[in-house]
Amino acid sequence: MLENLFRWLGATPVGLYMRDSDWGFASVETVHLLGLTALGGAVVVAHLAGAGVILRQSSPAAVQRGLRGFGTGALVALIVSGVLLVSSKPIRYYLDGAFRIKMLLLALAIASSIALYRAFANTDAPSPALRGAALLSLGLWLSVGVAGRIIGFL
Amino acid sequence: MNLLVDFCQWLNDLPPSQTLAESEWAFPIVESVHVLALGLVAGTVALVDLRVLGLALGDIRLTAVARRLLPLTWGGFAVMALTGGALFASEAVKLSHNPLFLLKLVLLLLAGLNAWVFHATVYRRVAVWEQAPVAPAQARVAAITSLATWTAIIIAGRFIAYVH
Amino acid sequence: MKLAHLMALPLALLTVAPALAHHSFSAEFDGKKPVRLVGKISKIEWTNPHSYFYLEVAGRDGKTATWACESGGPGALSRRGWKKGDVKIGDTLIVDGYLAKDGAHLIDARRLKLPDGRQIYGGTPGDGGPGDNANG
Repeated sequence: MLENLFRWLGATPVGLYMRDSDWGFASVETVHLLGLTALGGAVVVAHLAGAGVILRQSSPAAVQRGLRGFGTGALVALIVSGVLLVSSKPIRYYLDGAFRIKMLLLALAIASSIALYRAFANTDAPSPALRGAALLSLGLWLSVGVAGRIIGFL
Repeated sequence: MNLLVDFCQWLNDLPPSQTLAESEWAFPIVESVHVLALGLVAGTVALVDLRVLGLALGDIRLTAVARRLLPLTWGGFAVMALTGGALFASEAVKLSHNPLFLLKLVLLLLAGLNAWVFHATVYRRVAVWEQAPVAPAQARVAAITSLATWTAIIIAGRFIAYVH
Repeated sequence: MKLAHLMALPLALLTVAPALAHHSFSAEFDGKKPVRLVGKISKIEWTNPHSYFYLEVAGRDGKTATWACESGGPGALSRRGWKKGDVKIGDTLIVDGYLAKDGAHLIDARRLKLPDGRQIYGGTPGDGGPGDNANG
């Protein structure tokens, strides 16, 4: 059923454009790279603040609030460009092990960051466990990036 | 000009450069670190720029944002310079002819120049304007220039591969 | 520059061509211009991000021209069972690929036939060119 969804994506006008355009893929991939840079900055700062490594004079909740717009925007850009990239040859990606792992890690990273955001917003004194969790979540995001690189290499 | 060509050839011929150029895993790994470290450098620079423009981290003082993010930026820059230098050395001769690579270098210089001017001039007086609702025009121009040049650097870097 | 050895497409290349997904491949190479080059290797660059095999190809006018065949990097080639010493200067290679769009003497090598008879897929993994699949 999921495979049909991928197949359908490739048959849409956008999917056909991405498949047939000379520079479409390269341009969208560049947007994906810019989004990755922006999200990287937001994620690193938000999670290091949560872990108590930087910006200690402010509450992690304040830092994370201050990054929410930029971070969400970057993530949206990544998801939209990502879907476009996949639409150029959906079955190739559907079958790709590195792609599947990246999607799984991405889901986990997003879920963990949302949970952490809420947890930090609800406490005045983050526990060591919560701070540790922020570092783990940062590690998750890094692994998403690594998985993305592997898609292109293996 | 010949000196430059000779230097690139010499760099290219160094055993570590050759090893990296012909490696199975090292090159992809070095390149991946180079790409993933972008978040540390350009991502943090963008956040400071956005703070100057009042578009992110508005609840936190600019001086605090700049001071706490700068170590990340410099750390990231060190990683990018090392990996970038290694990648360059592995195909120095080819890259020295690549217009996108040369453009990227020029843009990096511009980004550095822009940052230096900002820090040496309007940022010196930051205590005066930090609490104001809007930063001075010169600061905002520097922030926008920074965002634009770093975006161009990343685009140029990606398109190096498409130009022979 | 005309190619004396522009031959009829092998059937395999024909069946693969419709599966073109144009990633970085199509930005630089023309999927509608398949080409076969036959020549002696004059130079080998076993390098990242791409390997290059330079062939001396005889033209219709009898003069030889140097053509570059772009393939995957050492990692990709080694995963296909190909080692650096498998081909040497002077060996004859038969390379099927697609012409560069800018008119340079460059093809994107999709398949290479080595002197020992082996056929190797030469494409860069992930570039979306013909024959590119999830496992490079």
